[in-house]
Amino acid sequence: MSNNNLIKGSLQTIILKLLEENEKMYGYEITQRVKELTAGEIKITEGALYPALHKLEAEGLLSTEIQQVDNRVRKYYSLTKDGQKQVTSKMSELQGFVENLQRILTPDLKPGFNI
Amino acid sequence: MRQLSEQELDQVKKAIAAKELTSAEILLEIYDHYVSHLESFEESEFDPQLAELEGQWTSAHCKKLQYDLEKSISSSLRSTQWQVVKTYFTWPRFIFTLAMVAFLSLLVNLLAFKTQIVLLFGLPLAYLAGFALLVNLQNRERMGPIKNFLGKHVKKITSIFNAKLTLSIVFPLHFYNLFLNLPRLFGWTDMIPESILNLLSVGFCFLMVLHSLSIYEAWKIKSKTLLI
Repeated sequence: MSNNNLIKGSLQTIILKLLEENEKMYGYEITQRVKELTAGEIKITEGALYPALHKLEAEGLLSTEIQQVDNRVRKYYSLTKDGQKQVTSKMSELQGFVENLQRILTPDLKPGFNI
Repeated sequence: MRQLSEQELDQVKKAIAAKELTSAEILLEIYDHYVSHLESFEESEFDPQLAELEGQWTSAHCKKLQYDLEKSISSSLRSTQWQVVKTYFTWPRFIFTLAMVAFLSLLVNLLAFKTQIVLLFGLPLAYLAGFALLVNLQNRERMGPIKNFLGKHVKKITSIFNAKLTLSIVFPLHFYNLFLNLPRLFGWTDMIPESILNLLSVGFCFLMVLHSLSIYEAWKIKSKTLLI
């Protein structure tokens, strides 16, 4: 499943979750981590990733730091305090959505079903 | 993982320059993305991998990215500035500032019309010109290494972040001159009492100083973490 439309709505949650686990990451590293975790099934495009990162940064959920790597500068993203608070709520929001989606796709599923 | 050769790095810079982007923030982030990707492939795969990157990072997509960044920098600068203002303006300071505005307005009322104009027109102009000059000098210092790094390939490099700061410093002055000083100079404000005009002018000067200092402070806070 590599449909970008499906990933779009959950991209911010994916970024926040990855940064919660990895402390700080740069753009390319995030794309590679997602690829690695999903065995290449989900590929985050640069067209979606960087605007999402910039938006989260502007909203104050991410902070950035610059590091010199070889002969270039690299921008690392990490969670702010507000960002850390948001991870839990965004995660349960997404999990709830997936649960409901599952109910629609498989109506036979019992109401108490949990992902 | 390997180090790219100078020739390969040059090719990357040329490919990025062809997108005709001007924002240093975007150029540096794309450059890091390209190099990070290409470093994980063998030399023989360099050309096809670069072509693949080019397919993903189209010129239109990069320009959209630049436009979106511009918007998010504006909003983040504004919110940081507001935080700075809120932190500074405790009630005693706010009341003191209002008292100062009222007191200075009274003093200006005692001056002759010509002196009033020179003072209210010239002083803010000199203040903001000096401020803009200081900011531009700092910008040049920050942009120097980036221009040296990419300048051979990219003709025009500016920082969105720095440009926003300069604009937000200069814009209020134009507003002030256009709507308050010029009409007054040509006598189009005869209907309004001079004391009110002086109060408005002094108040606006205070707002300008507050705005320029707080936006500069916000810029300093944000520039610690931005690429530029």
